Amino acid sequence: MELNKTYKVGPRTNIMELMKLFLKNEVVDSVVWFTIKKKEKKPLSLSPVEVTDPDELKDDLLGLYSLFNFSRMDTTANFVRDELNGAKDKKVAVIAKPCDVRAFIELQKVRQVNLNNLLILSLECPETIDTGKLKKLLKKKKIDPVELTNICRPTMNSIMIELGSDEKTIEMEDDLIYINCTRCPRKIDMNADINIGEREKGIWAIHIVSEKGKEAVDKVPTDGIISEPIDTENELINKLIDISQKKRTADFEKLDEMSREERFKLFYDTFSKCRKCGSCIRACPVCFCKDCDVQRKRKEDIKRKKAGIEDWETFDNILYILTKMGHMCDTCIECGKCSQVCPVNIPSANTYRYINDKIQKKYDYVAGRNVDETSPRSGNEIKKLLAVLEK
Amino acid sequence: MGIIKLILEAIGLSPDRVLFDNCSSAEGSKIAGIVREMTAKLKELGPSPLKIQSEKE
Repeated sequence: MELNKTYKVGPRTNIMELMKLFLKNEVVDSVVWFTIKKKEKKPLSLSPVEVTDPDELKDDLLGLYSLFNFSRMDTTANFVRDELNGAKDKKVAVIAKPCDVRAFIELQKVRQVNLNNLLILSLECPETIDTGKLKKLLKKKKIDPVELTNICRPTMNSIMIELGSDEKTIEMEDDLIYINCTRCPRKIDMNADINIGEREKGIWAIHIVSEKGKEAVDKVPTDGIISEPIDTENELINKLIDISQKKRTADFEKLDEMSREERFKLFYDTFSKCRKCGSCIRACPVCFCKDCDVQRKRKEDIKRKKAGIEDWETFDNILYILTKMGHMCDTCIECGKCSQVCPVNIPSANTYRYINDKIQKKYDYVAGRNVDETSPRSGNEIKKLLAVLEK
Repeated sequence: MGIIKLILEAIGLSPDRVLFDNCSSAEGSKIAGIVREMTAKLKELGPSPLKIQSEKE
């Protein structure tokens, strides 16, 4: 295999076979794979699972993951950070969306994961579908979501679902894709080791990005899995990137044109319905503190309320939002999970995106772009701390 | 500091409402000057829209 070359892989099960080979030949100790825990109740909710035995790797859910991502609070980055102890003591191969790759970069900066032990296969991301809305759409078309075995996005305006051996094409509806994903221009991440993507319906390809990725693939016998090199790019994704970039800039221009009062009103109207539930903190892949100040204050307030203290609220919802914003804004990698998990549908990702853009313009710093870059806010302090830690 | 100002601007509060400076303990008059200046600025800006909003409810 050669660096920076794309190879045809064929059907998506070959990606799974490749992961099996990595396990069999001890390139990695474990693989993060997908599972559906409650097939009957929640047929579209994927959860991450650690697989160490190559024979246990059998759920063919890569297609679903590429368009659904993990459900609720789960992301690949979260799982590796919390459940696998940041891959600090074993080698792990993961399949990740580009936003997860950015999260890994940010977590590496603060030593929450060990990037050297991670073999990242990043998806060329066809955006993420809101599974709740998809379920409603399927219901309207009288399709039982339990039967869904695979999904893909062959063109911009349609998705194709497989029901066993049956296939159906569904027109894309406006709000089926998460808003954050339609504003994300970073759908192909060059910080991963290997990029994988569905180039045509049912035809997957891999692109070797890093030296580590090349070594890993060279170590395993890939006959019958990886075939001839191809030199096409992923046209659908390139088109999506163009559109997202335009939508993103248009959004920012609209906000820039607003007066300060209008922006405040918008902010207050969006965020004042926050219930301080803490979902956005738990779902955030880069929010990693074990002892969270915001969560503690929130819980203290609840205790005061239960004890019957009249003036129990010391930490109101705006303070909650602002504290979180001050803490997170320079590490936000724009995955949009905070909006997706919010029980009252606050689009907080929109505000983070706007602030991120401002930071980029002022400091030329983008979270998740490069491991060696440090944040303009706390970068120097982190460097000092790490120098002490690594001695 | 710069980032805090960016956040305030993005959510529609005036970035002038926050100030970060450092003085040595020997520079008493400098501190007094900074505080005086900031107080005057805040009086000119008036109460924060956040406070006005939360009192309305």
